[in-house]
Amino acid sequence: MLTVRRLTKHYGALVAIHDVSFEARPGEVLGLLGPNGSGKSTTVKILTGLLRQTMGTVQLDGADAFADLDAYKRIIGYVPEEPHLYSYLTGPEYLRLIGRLRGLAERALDDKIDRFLQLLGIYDDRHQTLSSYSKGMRQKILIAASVLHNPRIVILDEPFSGLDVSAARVLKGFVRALAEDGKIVIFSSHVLEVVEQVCSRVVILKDGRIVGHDSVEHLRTTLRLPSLDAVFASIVAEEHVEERTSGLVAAMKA
Amino acid sequence: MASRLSVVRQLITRPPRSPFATLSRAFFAQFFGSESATSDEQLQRAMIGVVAFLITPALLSPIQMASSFEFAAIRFPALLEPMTRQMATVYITYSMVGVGVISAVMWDALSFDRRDAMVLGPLPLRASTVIAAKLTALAALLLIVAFVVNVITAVPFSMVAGNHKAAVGVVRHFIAHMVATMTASLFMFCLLVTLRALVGGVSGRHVATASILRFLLFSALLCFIVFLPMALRVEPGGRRRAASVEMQTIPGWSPTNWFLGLHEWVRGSPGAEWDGGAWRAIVFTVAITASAVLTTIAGYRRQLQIALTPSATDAVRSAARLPRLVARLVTGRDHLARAVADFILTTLARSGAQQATIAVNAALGLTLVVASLFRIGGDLAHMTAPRTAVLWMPLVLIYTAAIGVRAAFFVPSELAASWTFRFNAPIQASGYWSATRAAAIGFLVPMSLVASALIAPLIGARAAAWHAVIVAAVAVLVAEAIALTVKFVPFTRPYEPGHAKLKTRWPLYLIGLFAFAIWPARAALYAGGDPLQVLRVAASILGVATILEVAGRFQARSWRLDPLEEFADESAIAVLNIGIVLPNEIRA
Repeated sequence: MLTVRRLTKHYGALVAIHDVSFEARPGEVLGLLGPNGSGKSTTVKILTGLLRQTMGTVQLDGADAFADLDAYKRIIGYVPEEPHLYSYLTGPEYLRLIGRLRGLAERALDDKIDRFLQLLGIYDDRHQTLSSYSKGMRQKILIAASVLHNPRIVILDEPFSGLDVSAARVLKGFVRALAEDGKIVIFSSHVLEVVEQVCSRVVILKDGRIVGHDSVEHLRTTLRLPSLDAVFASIVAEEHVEERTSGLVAAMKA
Repeated sequence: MASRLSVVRQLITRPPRSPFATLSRAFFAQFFGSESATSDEQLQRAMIGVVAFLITPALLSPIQMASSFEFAAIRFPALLEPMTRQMATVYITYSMVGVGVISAVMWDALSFDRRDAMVLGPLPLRASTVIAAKLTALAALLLIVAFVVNVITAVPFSMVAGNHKAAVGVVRHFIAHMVATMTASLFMFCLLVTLRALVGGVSGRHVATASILRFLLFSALLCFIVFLPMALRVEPGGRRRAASVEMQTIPGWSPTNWFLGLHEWVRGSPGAEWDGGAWRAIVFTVAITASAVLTTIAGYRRQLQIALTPSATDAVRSAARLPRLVARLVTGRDHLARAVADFILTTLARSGAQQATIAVNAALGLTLVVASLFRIGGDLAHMTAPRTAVLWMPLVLIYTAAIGVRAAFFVPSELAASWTFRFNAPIQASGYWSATRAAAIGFLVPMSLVASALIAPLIGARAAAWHAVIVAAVAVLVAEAIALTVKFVPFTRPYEPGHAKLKTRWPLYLIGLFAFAIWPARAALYAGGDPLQVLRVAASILGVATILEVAGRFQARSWRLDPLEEFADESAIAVLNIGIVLPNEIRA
C-alpha cells in the first residue's frame, strides 16, 4: 500500500500542495482530481520521485518509499502529463532505451516492444521518428513505456490526452485490468466521465489542499448528486461559470 | 465626444498590418531564432561573436594593405593594377564565404519546413502570399548581410586602391567593388537557398547536409583568414635584399574570376577577357536566383504534402551503426552503459545542434592542417614522404573533432525529454561514465580510420594503414580524457554559457594539440612504418589511456544522476552577477 502523509511542497513563497494525505491500495484505481493549478501534477511528480517534497512522507508498505529511490523507481511506471520524448528516435528505439535503462533482457525486450506496438496500433509506424507521430501516437508510446517493466505501481497523468475513442476504450479496460492484477494505480485526469468509470476512489484537490476524498459512489450518495461531474462542481465550487462562458463568447466576437 | 475620441484613437493607432507584412516579419525573425539557445541574450551574444569574427579580418586587411599600395605606387607602379585585382579577388572570396557561413548558420530557416506548412496551411492565406513573404524575408536578409559584409571592405579598399586616382576613380572603384561582391553574395546565397529547398523536399538527411555544409563553409572561412596575409606580400627590401611583390595565383576555373570580370568591367578596365567573366557572372547569378525562387515555391507545396502525409517522408535517418558497434564492444554486457552509449551516438548522428558544434571544431582542425601544408610550401613532392606535417593531419582532425564532441555533450538536446533518464535510470551507476567513454570511442575510432585513409594517396596505403593504428590509439586516449571531464548524461542538462572558458583555458587546448597530435605524429615518424615500432608506439599510447581509464573508473564510483526536477523550478535557481548559474542548495 502506498501511503501519503501530510505532503507539502513549497516553491519559494508559493504553496503548491499543503498537508495532502491519502492511501492508494493494491487492486484499486485512485483518481486524483482538481482544477488547473490545484496541485495534481506536483503530487504526481513527488510520488514518482521526480520532485522532492518540502514536508511529509510517502510510504510503501510502511517504509519510506524514497529511502532507496532506485528500488522504488524500479517498481513504478509513469505516464507524464506532457508527452516530452526524444523526437529524433523511433518508437521502438525510445522503448528500447527505456527497457535497457531499466535493465530488461534485450531479446525479450524486442519481442515485448513489438507486441506493444501491434496491440496499440502503431506497429506500421515503427520506422518513423517520434517527430512525425501524432499526439495520440506519442501517448501510446508513453503508455507502453510506463508498463514495459511490469511495475507494481502505475501513475497515469492525463493518459487519455490525444487518444481516439477506440484507443481510449482499450486504455480504460487496461487501467481496470491493471488494478484487477493487484497493482496500485493512481489516475490523474480532468476527464470526469472517465474517472467515474475507471476509479474506485477519488481524491479531489483545490488550491493544493484535499477538499474531497472518498469512493465515487459514496460521494454521490452523500452529496445527493447524480454524477461525479456534479460532485466536482459542488466541491470545487466553480463560480460564475455562466458569466465566464458568455464573456468568452463576447471576447470571440469582439 | 466619444466618437471624436475614437477618431483620435484611430489616427494614433497604427493600422493593422497586412498578412503579407506580418508573415514577412515572422519569417525574418525565424533567421535569428534558435531551438538550442536557452535565452535571447545567449543567442545575441553568439550572433555578435559570429559577426565580430567575420568582419574583423576584412576590416583590418585593407588598412594593412595601405602601406603596401603606397610602396608599390612608388617602386612598382605597373603592379598596382594586378595588386588591385588580386585584392578584389580576395574580397570577392570573402564575400562569398562570409555570406555562406551566415546562411549556413541560419540553414533551417532558408526554406519552408513541415512546421511552416502545418501552421500556415490551415489559415485562410493564399500560397502566393506565404511564398512572397518568405522570398521578401530572404531578400531582406541577403540585402542586410551582404551589404554589411561587403561595405566594410569596399570603403577602405576603394580608398586605398584609388588613392592615386581622381575622386571619380575612387567612386568608380567603390561601385565596382559593391557590384561584384554583392553579385557574388547573391550567387552564394541563392545557391544555398536552392540546396536547402531541394534537400528539405527530397531527403530526410537535411540535418547531415547542414552539418557538412557548415563544416565546409567554416573551414573555408578559417582557411581564408589564414591565407589572407599571404595573398599579397610586398617586401620593401633593404641593403642586401631587393624589394619584391608576391601574389598567390588564383586558379583560372575559380568562380571568383567571373565576379572579378564583373568588377573590372564596371571599373572600365581595358581588355576583352573581363567581358567573358562579367557575362558568366551575370548569367550564372540570374540562373541561380531563378532556381532559388522556383525551388522555394516548389518547397512550400512539397512541405504541404509532407505535412499531410508525414509517415511517408520522415523515415528514420542515420543509425550510426558502426560507432554503436564499437561502443558495444567497449561497454561489454553493461545494459545501462549500452543504452546510454546508444542514446549518445544516435543523438550525435541525428541532432543538428550537436553536429554543428562538432563541425565548427573539425573545421578548425582542417584549417590547422591547411595552414601547416602552406607552411611547407604546399608542394606535393614534399608531402609524399612521411613527415610531421603529413602524419599529424588525421591526428589534428581527431583532436579537434574530439573537442567538438565534448562541447556537443554540453549542448542540450530536447531538454524537456530528459525526465526519461531521471525517472527510468538508476541514480548512481558507473555505467554512465562507461557509456560516455564508449560513445566517445565509438565516435572517434571509426573517424580516425577515415581520417587516416585521407593521407593514403600521399604516403601510400600501407604506411597509412600502419599510421591508422597510432591514430586509433590516440582516438582512444582522447576519448578517455573526454570521459574524465564529463560528469552527467550528455545532452540532458541546461547549457551553461561559457563552460569552455576559452579565454583562460586556451593554453590547455594548445598543450592538447601537442599531446594528441604533434607528439604522436613525431612518434609515428620515429617508428618509420616499421610494424613492430608502430605497435610499440600504439601500445605506449594505450598504456596512458589505461591510466586514464583507471582514473575514470575510480571517479565513476561517485558519478550521480540528479533524479530531481528542481532545475525546472525557477525559484531554485540563482543567477549570480559573475554569470554563473547555481542551484540555491549549492550556493548555500
